[in-house]
Order: sequence, then structure tokens, then C-alpha cells
Amino acid sequence: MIRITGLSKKFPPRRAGGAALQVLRDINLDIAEGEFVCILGASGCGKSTLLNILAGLDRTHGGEVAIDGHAAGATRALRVGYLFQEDRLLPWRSAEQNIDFALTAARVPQGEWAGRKDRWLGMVGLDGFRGYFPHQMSGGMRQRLALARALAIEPQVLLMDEPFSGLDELTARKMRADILRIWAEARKTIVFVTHNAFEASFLADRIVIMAEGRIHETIAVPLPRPRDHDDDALFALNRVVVRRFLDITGGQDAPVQPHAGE
Amino acid sequence: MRELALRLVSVVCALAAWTALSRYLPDDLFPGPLAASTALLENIANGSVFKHLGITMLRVAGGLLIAMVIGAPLGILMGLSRLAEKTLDIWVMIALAVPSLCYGLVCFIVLGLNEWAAVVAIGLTGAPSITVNIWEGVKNIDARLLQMAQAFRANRWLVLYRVVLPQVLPYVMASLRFGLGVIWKIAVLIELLGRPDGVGFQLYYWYQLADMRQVLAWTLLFTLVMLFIELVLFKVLERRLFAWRPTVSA
Ligand SMILES: Nc1ncnc2c1ncn2[C@@H]1O[C@H](COP(=O)(O)OP(=O)(O)OP(=O)(O)O)[C@@H](O)[C@H]1O
Ligand SMILES: [Mg+2]
Repeated sequence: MIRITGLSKKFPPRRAGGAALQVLRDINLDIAEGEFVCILGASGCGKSTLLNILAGLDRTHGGEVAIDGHAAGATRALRVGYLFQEDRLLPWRSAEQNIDFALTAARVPQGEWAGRKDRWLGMVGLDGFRGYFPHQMSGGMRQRLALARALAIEPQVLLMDEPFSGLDELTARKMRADILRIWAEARKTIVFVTHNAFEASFLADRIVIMAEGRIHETIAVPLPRPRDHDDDALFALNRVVVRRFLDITGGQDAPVQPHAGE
Repeated sequence: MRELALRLVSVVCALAAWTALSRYLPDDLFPGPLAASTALLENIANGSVFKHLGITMLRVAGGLLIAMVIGAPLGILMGLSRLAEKTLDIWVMIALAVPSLCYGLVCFIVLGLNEWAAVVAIGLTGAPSITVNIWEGVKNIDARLLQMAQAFRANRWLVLYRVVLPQVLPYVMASLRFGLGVIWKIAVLIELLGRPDGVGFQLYYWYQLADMRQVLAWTLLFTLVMLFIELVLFKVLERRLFAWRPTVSA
């Protein structure tokens, strides 16, 4: 479904004559249809940059990215939903109208709007807040609204950038369960960025560990589904993932340093 | 409510100060608020207010239109293109710095002493401040929201209508407000310079006759109309347009 070959990304130097910032280096990754992949990496290692490229928002990169055979962002035949790291709601539109915006943009027929809004606003627990403007909602509510907006277009491929990092553990657990249910029901392909190894172990078919713009390791998750948050096997796997992650990043959570262009 | 009370108190104080000052000075040199308002009422009764205020308003509206037509596209261009910004910003500063009287004189010389010249002069004077505001607004468009719209594959119109316009609108309003403030004043000056009617002409006429009562009456009228536009028209419009904003609706 998603095929990434030799992907690299360099941000131009901020001043003429300065060093370019190499954020992604030689990334190769194949993601099968219906697969749930978690990308685990320290802050600043290039995760959001990678998702931006997958969403087709950034086309100035090296290597190739194909989704269902098309260059990223090049076709309407396949819907790609992108949940940004920040909520990116329109402040001048109410909760419901923010979803209307996405439905209009994605050209969803008007007849389906009401049903979809009921369903997705209900799922994220915002049914009673339809008329609220973003500034009248809490950070977690805004994040959930952004999630509802991304899901409302019912994408085949869903890119999610740390969607639950701002939520309390109780709400996050509920949302994780919801995501897994939606994923199982609609057989979506999900790329989910997180820096929470436990969350990755709970959700993923495969965990991709990134550091300094490279993929260092891919760990398959053999746990059967449905999974249980309190399962010992899950904790055991979590320990393994954390161990590998610390080995790779040298035990420190340091962001990438600027490198001279290669 | 408290705000309104404070405003009222300040108005009453100002009127009292005016009255006190007029008592102190000879009547024909500096009449009080009562004398000025009776003169104003007389002018309203004999119809001269409507004639002259009407023509001034038309000139202001025409000038504002010209200012927008020239100023807004330039501002948009400068906000979008760095090249345009770097080439034009010095000229906008120069245009702002030139005294408004110069625009008036040049227009009357080049275009002749006619209505066209007056309106064009008013428009030219107002244009730079409109450019500056809109330039600022376009520059401040949030690129992250544009990305969001792009991720949902929104088409151009939707992006313009739902993402760009709401962000630029506050700056357009500010530019209108600012432009109008500049344009009112220049309109009066231009009328004094080369028109046989309008509020500016009246002010100059009575000034030449040394009739302070009438000068103050016309000034009062002018101020009241300005206040009405600022406090009533703009406030209502802004409340409508920016209801979503925390500061305005709160
Ligand atoms: N538009 C940009 N211009 C220049 N550099 C950028 C830009 N966007 C990101 N970077 C740089 O790229 C690197 C990776 O950023 P990215 O946002 O992908 O990190 P991340 O892995 O998502 O981190 P986090 O977990 O903190 O969100 C950072 O060093 C950042 O400074
Ligand atoms: Mg990020």
C-alpha cells in the first residue's frame, strides 16, 4: 500500500552559506494494506517530516514515496487522512463546521454528512459540543475534534502524529480502543507516530524505530488481538522495545544535531 | 456598562471645559457648545448640512473606493511575493510620508479643478495606509492551516473562502478604518483647496468671514458623523464578522 524507497529530506540552510539540515536519510519502508505501523522515535528525529511527505504536503525530497502506486498526494482515488501533531482547527468555525470543512474539501456527498458527524463526534465524545468554537474547548477536546475530522472523511490510509499525547491515560485508552476498532472494521492502513513505546506495543503490527532521520530497526509485534492493557506479554514486549530504543539512541533523548549536507 | 458610564463622564467633562473656556474668551472668538449646537441645528433646518455633508460623504466614499482598488492589490502582492515586497516597500513608505496636501495640489494641477481630481487625490492619499495593513495581513496567514486544507485536498475556492479570508478580514477592517480616518481629513482639506461645496468648503468659508460660531458648528457636525461611523457602524460590523474571536465575543 505504501512504498518508501531511498527517501531523504534536507531542509535548506537558514542563511546563505550555512549548512543544510539533513532530517531524513535513506528511508526504506513497505507498509501492507491494512497494516498498523507505529513509528517510534525521539523528539526531533524526523517523524513529522516523514508524515508530511507521506501526506503529499512536502514534495521537495529525495527518493520515492508511493501510496497505492501513486506519488503521495497525487490522486483523489484514494483518501488519505492526516491527523497533525497540533490540532490545526479553523478558529473561526465551530466544532461541527470544522468537520463540514473537511467533508466539503474531501467532496463527501452532502447526504452523508449528518450520519458521519453523528458517528465521529459521538465517538470522540464531543456530540454535545457541536456549536463550540475551538477557543472554547480544552486542548484534549481540540485534539479529539481533530481526530473526528480526520476520521470523518473515512480515509483508507490514516496518518496520525502523536494523537493521544495530550490526553489523560483514561481517555487515551478509550481512544486507542476506538482506533483499533475502526481499524479492524474498515481495514484501514495506519501509520501512527508516537514516542510512547507502550502505546506502540499495544497498537502496532510492526514498530519502526527511528533515530536521527534513519530507520534503525523494525520490530514485529506477535501479540494476538484484541490486546489487553494489563497483559504481561505486552509489558514484556514493551521492555524489549524500550531496551532496543535506548540501545539505538545511546540512552539519550537528544534531538538531531544539524549536519552538513551529504 | 461601566465603559459607557466612563465615556459619558468624559464627554460631560469635555463639554464643561469647553463651556468654561468660552466664558473666559470673548463670544465671537470662541463660542460655547450651546451656541455651536444652535448654529448646527439652524444649518440642519435650512438644509445646508445635508447638501454639504452629502457631497463630502460621496467624495469620501469615492476616495475610499479608489484607495481600496489601488491599495488592496498592492498589499496582497507584497504579502505574497518577497520580490514585490522588497521592491515596493520603500515606495509605500515614501507614499505615506508625502503630505496629503501635495497629492491634492498635484491632482488639481494635472487633472484640473474638478470633482475627478478631488476624488482621485483623496484616493491616492488613502491608498498607502490600506496597502500597509493588507500587506501585514497577508504576510501573517498561518501556513499550518493552509497545509491542513491541502491535506484534506480542499480546492482553491474553499481555501480562499474558509482559510485565507477569515485571517485577512481583520486586517481589511483595520485598513478600512485606518483609511477612512485618513480620508476624512484629507477630503476636508481637498474641498477647502479646490471645491465650491462640502464640509471643508463651509469650514473655510466661515473661517474667512471670521464666524467662529459656524466654524465650530461644522467641526461639531464632522466629529459627530465620524464618531457615529466609528462607534456604531464599525462596532456592529466587527461584532458580526468576528463573533468567533474570544476577545470580541467575551
Ligand atoms: N520547515 C522546516 N524547516 C527547517 N527545519 C525543519 C523544518 N521542519 C522541521 N525541521 C527540522 O527537522 C527536524 C525534525 O523535525 P520533525 O518535526 O520531523 O521532528 P519530530 O520527530 O516530529 O519531533 P517531535 O517528536 O518533537 O514532534 C528538526 O530538527 C527540525 O528542526
Ligand atoms: Mg513531530
